[in-house]
Amino acid sequence: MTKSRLDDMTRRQLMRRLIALGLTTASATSLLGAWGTRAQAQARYKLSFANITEAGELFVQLGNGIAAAAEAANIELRRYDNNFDSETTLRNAQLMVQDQPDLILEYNGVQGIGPALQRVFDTAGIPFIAINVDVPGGHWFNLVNSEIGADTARTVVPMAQAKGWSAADTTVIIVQSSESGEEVNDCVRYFYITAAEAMGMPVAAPADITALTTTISENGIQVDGKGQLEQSYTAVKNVLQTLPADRNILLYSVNDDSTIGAWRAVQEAGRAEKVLVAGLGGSAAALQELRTNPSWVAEGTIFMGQWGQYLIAMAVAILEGVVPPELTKCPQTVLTAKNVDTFYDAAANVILLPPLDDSNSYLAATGVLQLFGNVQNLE
Amino acid sequence: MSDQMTTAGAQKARGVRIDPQFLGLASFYVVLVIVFSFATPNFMSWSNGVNILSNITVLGFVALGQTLAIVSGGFDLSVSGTLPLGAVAYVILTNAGVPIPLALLLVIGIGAVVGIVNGVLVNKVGISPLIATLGSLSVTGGLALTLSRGVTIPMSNFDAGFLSEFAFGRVAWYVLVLIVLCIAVHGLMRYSVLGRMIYAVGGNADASRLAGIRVEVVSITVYTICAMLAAFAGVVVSSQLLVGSANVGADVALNSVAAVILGGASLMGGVGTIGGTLVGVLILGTIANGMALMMVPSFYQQMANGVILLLAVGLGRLREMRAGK
Repeated sequence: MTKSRLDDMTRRQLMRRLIALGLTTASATSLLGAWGTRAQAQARYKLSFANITEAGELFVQLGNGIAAAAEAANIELRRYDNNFDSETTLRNAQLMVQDQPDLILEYNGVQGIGPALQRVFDTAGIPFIAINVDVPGGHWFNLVNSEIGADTARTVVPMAQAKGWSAADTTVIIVQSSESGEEVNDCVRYFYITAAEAMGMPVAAPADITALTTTISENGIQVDGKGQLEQSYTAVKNVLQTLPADRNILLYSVNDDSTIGAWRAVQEAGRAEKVLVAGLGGSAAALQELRTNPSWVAEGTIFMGQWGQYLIAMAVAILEGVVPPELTKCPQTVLTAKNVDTFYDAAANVILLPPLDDSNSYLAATGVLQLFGNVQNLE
Repeated sequence: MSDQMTTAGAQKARGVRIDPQFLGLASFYVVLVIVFSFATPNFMSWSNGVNILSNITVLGFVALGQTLAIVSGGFDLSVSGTLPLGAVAYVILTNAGVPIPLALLLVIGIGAVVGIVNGVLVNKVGISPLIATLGSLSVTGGLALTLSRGVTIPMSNFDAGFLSEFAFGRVAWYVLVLIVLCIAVHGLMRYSVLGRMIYAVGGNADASRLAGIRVEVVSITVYTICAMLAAFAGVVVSSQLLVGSANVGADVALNSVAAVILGGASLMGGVGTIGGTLVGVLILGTIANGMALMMVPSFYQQMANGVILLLAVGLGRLREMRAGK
């Protein structure tokens, strides 16, 4: 065999192998493509979600919760980071719209840009759910601050009355966060209003308690802890100087950091025996206080890491033609030392969510919540 | 050489003479106390006095360091990151079983590292104090958030909060530590060679260099002391609150600069005293306390602080202009 014939054969073999390889690759690609199309087709819906920020642990938990719920419900999800910034939020809105999802989950931290977001989404004809901060024209998912404040008061007041405390010897101190706006401070306002009513103290209208209010009545004081540990500690320390040492106190703040600061002020002043404290947030530090501190008697919690289940169920319901109520409430409840172990384990992980609110019963019909098996009384 | 040093020299020659500026400031404080005493019945009491001292302690520690930084011709914004980093690190270390004295030393060591980095950035790399300390504020604040994962960490070993135990009456140990440190830093500024060099560097860095002072070493030392005090302030905060949080100390950078300036220091450097800073801190703390007792909304308290600071700086500037500077 000459060298040129050998070369010829090798060339032919090489060509055959290349063609075979090409065919195999093409087949594999088309198979993969078909699988991809099938996988795409199998996703029930395509959603886009813009998180308020991906920097804080709570918000990362929320984002991860939504992603996990979407995966469980076989829904395709794209995530965006609004970075607490109005320009980024609007840019993300445009990007999401370009992606043509079936529905958008919008967590915007800048209330004033609601109408601009509405214009972007409405022009594209894409339905959207506004998380926490209302956006006109959208469906709204949020905690109800007024309700959780009032529920907390209903939990704390009987405990105070069981100790023999009355309007004559008790002061309610609420620790607001003046910069967080009216909606957030509804929890402390409604705590005072409900507690005052139940204990026979002078009752105030919600509108009477503003960010500038300090003395609500002879039984009610509001201080500004700015939602922060240190500021709440100092604010409560100062105001304690105005109250006689034998005065009983009901103490409630806008969030757990603020409550921890306020509680330390009370403790340092040697008044722990004369105070009943309630927090809001369900943080690990607060749950530890609830379990171990006899003065920390109640803790409002909103299960933010589990909002994803609710939001995906809400999205599916909307896409299946359900018209949700004006506000879909997040899971929220008031914990006490007696029921805390029902909802949280010792490491502060959620083990159970409270039963669905009546107005949220439409979420059950989607079957999404059942995938997690963690909603009380939901089969 | 600065006025301060001239004054110190004159004092040596003529015996103790109280600085008129300090006298004015102290008089203003006395007037403030009298006004609040009449305005609210709860103000003038032993209990509220202790309360004011307790309220100003964290700012006091940071302002001590800030005084050194400002007198030396710089300033340190990174204290707002170093403080929470110190608080978080202290709680994490003590929760992990590290002996309390060692945890305390490690936290102060962390502060020293931050301070050395600040000093090197300003003096060796040539970055302005504003940018250098703003950058390290971001880094240290971010580190505090990362270490704490953004959540408040409860102190599991309450012994670690020993600084908030009462030494006597209802006076906590941290108040006594502040008083001791004030005396020590005052002594350092007034009577030590380093103190005189700090004034000299702040007054005129070039002249100091020509006079043989190692300006960079002095400045790095100052930033290191400043950051160590901020980290220690973090330990005090976590002792007060019995938690470690990355969200404490956000206002402390600007408030400490305000207290130092209110106390008679100049942002141009070379001027300022620990006594003045202490009165500046007391003024800010007393106004906040008095207005809170009068149930004045916090928005107005914020405005009042701003107005008083502007007045103090304005009057200082007027004085300098009259003196032909």
